[in-house]
Amino acid sequence: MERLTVSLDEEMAKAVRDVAKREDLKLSAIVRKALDEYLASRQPQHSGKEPDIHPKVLWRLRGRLHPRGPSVRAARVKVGSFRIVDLSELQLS
Amino acid sequence: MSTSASFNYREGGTLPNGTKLPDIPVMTLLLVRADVGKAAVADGLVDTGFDGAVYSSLELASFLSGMRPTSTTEMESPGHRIEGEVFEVPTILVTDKAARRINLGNSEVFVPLDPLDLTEDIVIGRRILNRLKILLDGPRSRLRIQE
Repeated sequence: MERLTVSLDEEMAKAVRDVAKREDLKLSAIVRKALDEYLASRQPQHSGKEPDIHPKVLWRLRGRLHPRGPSVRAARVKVGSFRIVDLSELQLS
Repeated sequence: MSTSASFNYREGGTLPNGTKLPDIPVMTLLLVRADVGKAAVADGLVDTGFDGAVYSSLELASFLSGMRPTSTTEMESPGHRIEGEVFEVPTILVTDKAARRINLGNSEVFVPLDPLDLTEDIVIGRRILNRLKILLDGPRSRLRIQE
């Protein structure tokens, strides 16, 4: 880990502190995630070098940790569960 | 009409100011990949405003990794258009404890090309919903599928 000092204006600093308190996160974790997403967004997305990987979004997602959904929501709540099972467990007929 | 399957709504959560959000109608889908011998058991948000069958989450997109899309298409979203790949996946509706299964055949799973359009939730749209008789029993927080 390397330590960097970042200067923020008052309004942004307050916003980051509010998010940290609300979501029980450390300030550095928020800054790290924001930088991850920013740096990933700076990489060329549509160059001819894009590999033949599908779904393409998995390649383009590199480094982004918090996709947003299309549904209009007042709070970030993940709906329901997701798990992978072996077909042999399911006895599909 | 008799009920053939039902699903409990999921809690919508609470805002920092204490406001409780409305509970969310969901259904559980089994999305099958015979080529890898796996299936995804996934809760999807019921959204009558979505034209397609299934709008992919990040987890579902990862599950489809390595499949070939059958087509690409565009969808209209408030403010912009969303380009995406379409994958055909055998889909079965399963109840909470998999006691009842309704085979939906192949469903088109829409996976957006741009990570900014990728969602944390799976969305189930009218291409599936319109094939079912669905009662949204809000007061009991239960979605019922009727025969």
